[in-house]
Amino acid sequence: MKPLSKRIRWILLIFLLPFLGLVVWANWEEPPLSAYFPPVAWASYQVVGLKTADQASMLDDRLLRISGVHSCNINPQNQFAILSYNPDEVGEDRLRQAFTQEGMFRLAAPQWKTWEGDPGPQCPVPASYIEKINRLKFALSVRKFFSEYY
Amino acid sequence: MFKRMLPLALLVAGTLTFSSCKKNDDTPATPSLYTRLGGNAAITKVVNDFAGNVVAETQTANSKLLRTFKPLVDAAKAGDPTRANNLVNNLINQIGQATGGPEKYMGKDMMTAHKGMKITDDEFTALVNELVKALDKNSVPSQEKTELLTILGGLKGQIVGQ
Repeated sequence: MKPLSKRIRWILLIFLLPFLGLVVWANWEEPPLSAYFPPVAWASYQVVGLKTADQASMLDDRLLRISGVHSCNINPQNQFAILSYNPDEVGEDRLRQAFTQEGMFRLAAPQWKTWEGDPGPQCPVPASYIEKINRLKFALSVRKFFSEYY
Repeated sequence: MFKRMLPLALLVAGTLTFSSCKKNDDTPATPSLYTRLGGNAAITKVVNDFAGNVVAETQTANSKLLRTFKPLVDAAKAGDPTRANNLVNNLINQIGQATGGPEKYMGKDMMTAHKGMKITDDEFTALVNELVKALDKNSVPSQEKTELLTILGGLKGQIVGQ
């Protein structure tokens, strides 16, 4: 019996202690407000056929009236459109339909300009890793249950 | 003894009289800039518009922001929203905290965050212009716009030339 209970104690220590450490880390400070809100998705398009500022303004108004669309930027000079939206509330099909419903415009993949020179120092950790760590921290946070935003 | 006590009594009486003249407690306190801007929802809307403006500006001819926002553009090109969302969330928290809101900025300080990027005055001005466009699009009143730009303009020394 004794060796078995000692083994179980060690196993508990090896797994429980790090988990407790994670919980303490997650609850050390209040989660940021941004953690309570759903992540935002971004969509960008080349709007073929877009020529004038009036057309851009019309598309802008139409898109912003769709529930779930947070922001919209449409540039008639380079026919580039970028919008942010809540993917839980509105699908990308609905957004595409808003552009093409009258048959005036056609959507294509944007022709991105990129910077070929040295952009300067870069964070070596991919942004998605940091995002996953933040989500884990929020999931383990007990403080969120006492927040008015939860 | 009465003559000696009289000046003291007058002093005490005067003190009590003038100390009872206090401000009317019913005058309302000026709401914070955070409240006047519209709180978290309004700031989120402005910041989302701002981020979209920045990405859109990088795609124009003679873009001033393409160099500094290359990682953001690369991520957008790859369809990864993480960088854009991190930037947006950090900005919302920073603006919220700076204007008196409950948000707490948890990112790096401005100097550390921009170290080595060698941001120029032109690039900073171009960035502020995109923010002004976002504020105008969301009909932020002139006074609140000025106050916010003054607060954020105070960070210029920590961003430019690092």
